[in-house]
Order: sequence, then C-alpha cells, then structure tokens
Amino acid sequence: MIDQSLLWPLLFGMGAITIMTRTAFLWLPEHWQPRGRAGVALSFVPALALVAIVAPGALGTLRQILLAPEGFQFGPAMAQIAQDGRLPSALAVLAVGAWRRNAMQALIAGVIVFGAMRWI
Amino acid sequence: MAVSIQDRAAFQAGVVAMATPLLGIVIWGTVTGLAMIQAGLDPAQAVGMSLIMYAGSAQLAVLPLLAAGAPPASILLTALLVNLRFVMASAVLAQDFRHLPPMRRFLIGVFTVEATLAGYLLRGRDGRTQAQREQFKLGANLAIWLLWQGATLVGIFGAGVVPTSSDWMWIGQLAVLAIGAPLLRVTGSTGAVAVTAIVAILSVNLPAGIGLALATLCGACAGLIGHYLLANEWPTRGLSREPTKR
Repeated sequence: MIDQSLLWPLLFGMGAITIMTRTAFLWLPEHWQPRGRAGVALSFVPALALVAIVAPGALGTLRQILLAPEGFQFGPAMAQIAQDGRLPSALAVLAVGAWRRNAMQALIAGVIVFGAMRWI
Repeated sequence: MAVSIQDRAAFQAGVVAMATPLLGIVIWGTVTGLAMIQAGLDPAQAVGMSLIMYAGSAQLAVLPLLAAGAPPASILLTALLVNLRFVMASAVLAQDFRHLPPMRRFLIGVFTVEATLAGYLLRGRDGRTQAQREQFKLGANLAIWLLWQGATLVGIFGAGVVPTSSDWMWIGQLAVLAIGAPLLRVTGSTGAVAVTAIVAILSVNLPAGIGLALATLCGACAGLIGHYLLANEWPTRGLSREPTKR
C-alpha cells in the first residue's frame, strides 16, 4: 500500500484533476469554444463514453471466442453468445433507445432480452 | 437568484430524469466502495476518496496503483487520462452555461458525470428557458451525487453482506448504457458506436482505463466522418455544430 503520508495529498490532487477536467471549457472564452467539425465530433461524446464503459463487458465473450485456440465456429459461437446474453441485451438497449428515444424503455428491453437469454 | 415555480419544477424534473440510471449508479457505486476497502483503504480514507474525487472510473483505475505503492506521478497521470473524457463533456456543457457566474458554472461542471450529461441533453433542453435548463442540470447533478455517495457508503460498510452477482453487475451496466442510447439518433451514430466498441475491447488491457478515453475519441472521429459522408457536406470552421437528425 502507498505511504500513508502521501495518500491524502494524492486524493486532493486527484480531486483537483476531476475539477479541472470537468470544468475546463466552462472557463474558456467563447472564441475558444469548439465549433464546426470539433463541435460535431463532441456531440457524439456523451453517448460514446457510455458505450466505451459497457463494451468490454458486452463483447468479452465474443473476444474469447475469437481468440480461442480452436478457432471460430459459427454455430457454437452464436450459441455461446446467446447463452451469455450480454451482447444481445446491449444491442437491444442501443436499438430501442435510438428508436424510441426513451431510456426507460431501452433499459426494460435490455433486461428482458438478457433475462430471456439467461433463462433459455 | 430568485427561483420561480417553473424553475423549481425543472429542478424536480432533473431529479426524476435520473430514475433510469438509478440502478446502474447504485450498483456501480457499491462496487467502487467494496473495491476501495479491498484495495486496503480504511473506511475514513475510502469515504474521503469518494467525496474528494467523485469519479468512479478514475477511482477504480487508481486503486490497484495505490495498493501497489506506485509512484505518485503515475497515479496522478492515470487519474488525468481516465478523466480526459470529461474535458469533452465540459465543451458540450459550455454551449449552454458559459455565461453563468463562476460559482454556478462550477456547480454545473464539477458534478457532471456521464449519466447527468446524457440525461440533460436528452430531457433538459427542449422547451426550457436558460434558467430552467440550469435548474434541471443542478437537480440531475444533486440526485446522482447523493445516489453515488450513498451507494459507495453501502459498499464501504457493507463488505461481505452486499451481493456481487455478475448478472446484477451487468444489469447495472445496461442501465448506464440506456441513458446514452437515445442520444444516438444522429447521422453517423452507428459507425461511431461500432468503432468505439471495437477500440474499447482492443484496448481493454491498456493500463488503467486509458482505453476508455481512446475509444471515445476514436468513436467521435468515426461519427464525424460518417456524419458528413452520409450528409454529403463537410463544414469549415465556424459552421453549425448541431448534427443532422436522422
């Protein structure tokens, strides 16, 4: 474990980093704000950050299948992905969320798909 | 600042809008609380970390480094890299809140996490005045901060009692994803999601969650390219920043 005398200064340092990163553009003048291409790219960020958090869990089984020494076999691979349920449920959340623009309906769809896959 | 009935209603709407990611935040916060104790922090240090940092991904990323006694510079750098995505989030918020007095800008920005940003963009803007947007965002910020701190306390003091089934963990992640999914109705989103997911899985073994920022950045670039390829236009600096709705 890290030296106890360093722990609290480190925690405050990391707290300062949180503050700096979360408020960075809120302090900058208007002509420094991203627009044009940068502005469009930034509009994707909030949703993609969430996708990036969830993707390793959703695609973990697929990754294992692809890296398996026996190679990729379509039938067993699909059965394994369906049995795991994570990738189909994540896709259901994305599809229903984008279609209905309703987060609660998206979550319910994802939970139903995940539950059904696990139950089957 | 006088707060009208409409502003108060907007604040309440911000709180209510956070019902969707509630389950995800509770599970994620509890796991983070457990992880802090398992990494060797005592309860006071763990509570301090949660209050001072308030950044789940960064907390989880630096815990192994703290436990291993890594150099302070590498711990701070890791926290910075994992939090870099919030710089992009602050640029999104600046479009609406840059004009506010410093303290109110601070309260809007510093308590922003993915769920509150996505919830604000989805439900907080349409048909609201500037003051109501601010109240909505403050309501969402407060709701998620309280939920997070409460869940973290459960994890810190409930180690050994709290269930940690992997199925529950996944449903928590689905709840986090659900808050962002409705924002994906812009041209180019499909490619952006695919690139983000692929980069995230390829970079999963990179040190301390750097993959999170990398995947988001690559996905945003892919979304930008897809957006203009599909829309048959390419803007120069200073043109509209609003993506075309599908």
